[in-house]
Amino acid sequence: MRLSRLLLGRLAAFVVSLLVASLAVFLLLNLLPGDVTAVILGNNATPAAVAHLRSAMGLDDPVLLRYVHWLAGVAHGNLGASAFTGEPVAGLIVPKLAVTISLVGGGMVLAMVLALPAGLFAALHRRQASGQMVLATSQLGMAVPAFLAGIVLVVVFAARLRWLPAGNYVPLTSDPLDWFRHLILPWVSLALVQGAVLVRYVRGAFLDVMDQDYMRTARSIGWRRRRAVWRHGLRNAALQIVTVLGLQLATLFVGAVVIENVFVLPGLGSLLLRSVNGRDLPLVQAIVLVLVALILMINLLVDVAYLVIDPRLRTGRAVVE
Amino acid sequence: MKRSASLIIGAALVGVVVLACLVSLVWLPFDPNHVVPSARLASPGWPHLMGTDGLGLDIFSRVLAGSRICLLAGIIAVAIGAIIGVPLGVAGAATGGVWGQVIMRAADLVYAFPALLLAILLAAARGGGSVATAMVAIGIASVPAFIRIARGASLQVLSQDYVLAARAAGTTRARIAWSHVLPNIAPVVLVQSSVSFGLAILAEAALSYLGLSAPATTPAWGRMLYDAQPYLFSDPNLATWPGLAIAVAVLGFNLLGDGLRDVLDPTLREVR
Amino acid sequence: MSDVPEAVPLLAVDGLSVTFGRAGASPAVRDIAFTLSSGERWGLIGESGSGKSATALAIMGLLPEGVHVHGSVRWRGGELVGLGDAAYSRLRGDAMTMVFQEPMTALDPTMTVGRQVAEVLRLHYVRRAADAQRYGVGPERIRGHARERVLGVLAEVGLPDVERIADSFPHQLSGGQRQLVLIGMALMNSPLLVICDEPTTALDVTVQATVLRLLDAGLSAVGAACLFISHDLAVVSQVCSQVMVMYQGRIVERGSLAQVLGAPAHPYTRGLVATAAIDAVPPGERLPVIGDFWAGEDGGRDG
Repeated sequence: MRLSRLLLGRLAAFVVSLLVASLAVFLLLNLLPGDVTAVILGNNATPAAVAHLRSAMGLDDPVLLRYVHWLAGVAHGNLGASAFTGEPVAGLIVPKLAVTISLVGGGMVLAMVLALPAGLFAALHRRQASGQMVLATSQLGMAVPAFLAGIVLVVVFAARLRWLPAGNYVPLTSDPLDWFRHLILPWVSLALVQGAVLVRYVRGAFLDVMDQDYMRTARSIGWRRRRAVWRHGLRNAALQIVTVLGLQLATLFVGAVVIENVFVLPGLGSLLLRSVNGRDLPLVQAIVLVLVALILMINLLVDVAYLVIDPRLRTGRAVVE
Repeated sequence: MKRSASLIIGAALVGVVVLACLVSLVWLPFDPNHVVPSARLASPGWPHLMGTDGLGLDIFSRVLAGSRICLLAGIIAVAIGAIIGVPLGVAGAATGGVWGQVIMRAADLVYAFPALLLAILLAAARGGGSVATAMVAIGIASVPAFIRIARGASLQVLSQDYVLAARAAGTTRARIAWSHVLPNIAPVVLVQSSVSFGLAILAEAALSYLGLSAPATTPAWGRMLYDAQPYLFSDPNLATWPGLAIAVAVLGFNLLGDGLRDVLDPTLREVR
Repeated sequence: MSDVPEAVPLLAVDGLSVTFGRAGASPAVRDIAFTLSSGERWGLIGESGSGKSATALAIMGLLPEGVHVHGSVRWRGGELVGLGDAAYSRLRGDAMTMVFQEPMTALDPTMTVGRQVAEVLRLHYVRRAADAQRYGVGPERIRGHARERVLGVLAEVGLPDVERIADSFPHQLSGGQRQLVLIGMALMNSPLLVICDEPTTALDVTVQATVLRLLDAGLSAVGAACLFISHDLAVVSQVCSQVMVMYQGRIVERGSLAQVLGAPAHPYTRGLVATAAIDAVPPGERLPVIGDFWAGEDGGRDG
């Protein structure tokens, strides 16, 4: 009962945020100087032709009306058409999204595989040199932007050692092994940097939890140190870690723009950059909206994860009398 | 005051970057935009300490001059973030209720627009990226972290007994915010500034790498990495120096933030 | 009072010192010694910072890393100082248990109370042969009976509606209820020693009395020895018959409750006894403070 009300609340907040964000994006792209008709017709078009196109595209309507029309289109799955080719934007985006999700998903999984054990290790060995080493290494990793990590990896593993391809994308469906080989370096460059950030949060979360009274209780009833962390620390630390994971995943979807550039991957980011450079505003608008929707959806999932993990949120404070 | 290795190393690295910037303002070994086709792709040595790039530009001069845009990004990000974020965070904590909620919701919404996405949007709207669009984007993106950190710290201060006593004595909220809250949250804001500075440098590097920041004639480390990309297989030297510069600058500010946290208050938490 | 001393006491603390921070810093516990025999209940009384809790945690082996423990703590003759985590863990929660001061945060907020209580059983079930006999099953099958034992133990410490309590999360219980749950956990495996560290300090005065009464009954039921830490003589006197007074890391006085209350030897104890007896102060006069009785080493303070 309470749970479903909370879930509905979160969902409503998601929808409202998405509406506000889409309005902000729409206004930004449609109110600032610069006109899509110039892109379509070129700079030498006659005023009559421009006026004709403007009215045909509905550009003379008030901007809010245009927003509502666009929104209605989006609601029907029509994200607009490319200013250049006239192709429906949705059809352009979907195949690119598959590339970006392969990149980001793999990178995130790898970052977690590296950072969760390393962070736990650093927390358990907080006073030993080994734990401090993990921390120092992560500090170095945090100082390197992902695209720089990518460039270094290309120099070493593609240029020097020639073990792996330096770029390009092979669809999973055409050759899974080649898909994997081509994505290893991009994944590693995302994971090294995100993992370095994550390690510090994981360590902090576990240190926090290990100082809690309930951990002392757990030890006093006979749990051994590590098992107590496993049994009573994991869920509580997860509360903190989930937030960071959500933020990181969101950052990665946007950061993928840069990595796709380094490794020449035909993802959403590459398409976005190309459409910005070509002034294809309808396409920019649609891609940004998709990215923002993805980010807000991740936030929603984090909220739901909270509700699953933390009974204090799920079940109110009613005291048993 | 407690000694902190992070603080010392961080301050030293930041000092190196600031020094590079100051030196570049008065003296550079070569004009960073002077194309010398005959001196293309020279190895590090004399007179080109770090060699030259594909156009024959002196890499050392460009690395020195690149510190300007890097520091500019950080300064603007921290200035915008702190000037907008801190008052909103304090206000959110002091007023509570609906307005506090609205501020936090707004901060959450801005979190959905990372610096990179904002910069791309602005570039699209303005017909191309520039230093201005990049800096505004980085600045706005740094605001929510300041709101959160200022709000959290303010709530803590506001729950202290002496603040409750001042309120009971009839001191106005604005006065409490000014004389009790701001001085007490200053250390937290300082630590966050250092963290945000580092993040801003990373964001600027990515933007200039993508060509969404300074024009090619303005030396920027990210841009240099982009220009180095065709030569990665033959002359990785071109990417080494700007890459190193970025890492040194970001490491410096991150360590400085860590060190400040150690020295000022071990219980402070960072918000990224 | 055991006139016939056992050959080997349950717990023998000798020359125990605890130092926080760097070696060479001023120790929180200085060279203390005492013994505790089966079934004895000793109060350990002192002001905050006197080293009571550090003593308790040193016995339990629960001091954080980086704290230096010197001296000897022998459990039925076996040395505990320096004992490995595995061996210590078999002792903790089984033969030797502890109840902490702050019930609000002592339970894992993400796990139901019943599951946490059941852990006490499961962690030590292999050696609970007595239970196996009582339930007429092999020890390996105790697992299946955990729920009944949990409900039983919650009822034994006086909690109402045990089914609901077992299925609740800690935040759904009051502070007093949580502390009773923790006392139940401490008594569950019929321990030989229960260490209580200010178990009622965080509770309302009205709840305190109930919890103390139930703790007293529980200790009697399992016949456990008890080391009861408090800063409050009145509280100690409800559970213990003997008392040690700790001051600045040392045990300055010990004896039966009557003896210590009747003829306090150490000035700190004199102050403690006098401040506890406030109903003896005529109306209108100032209440005594410990400083009034403190003409000891530091010269005392003016009244």
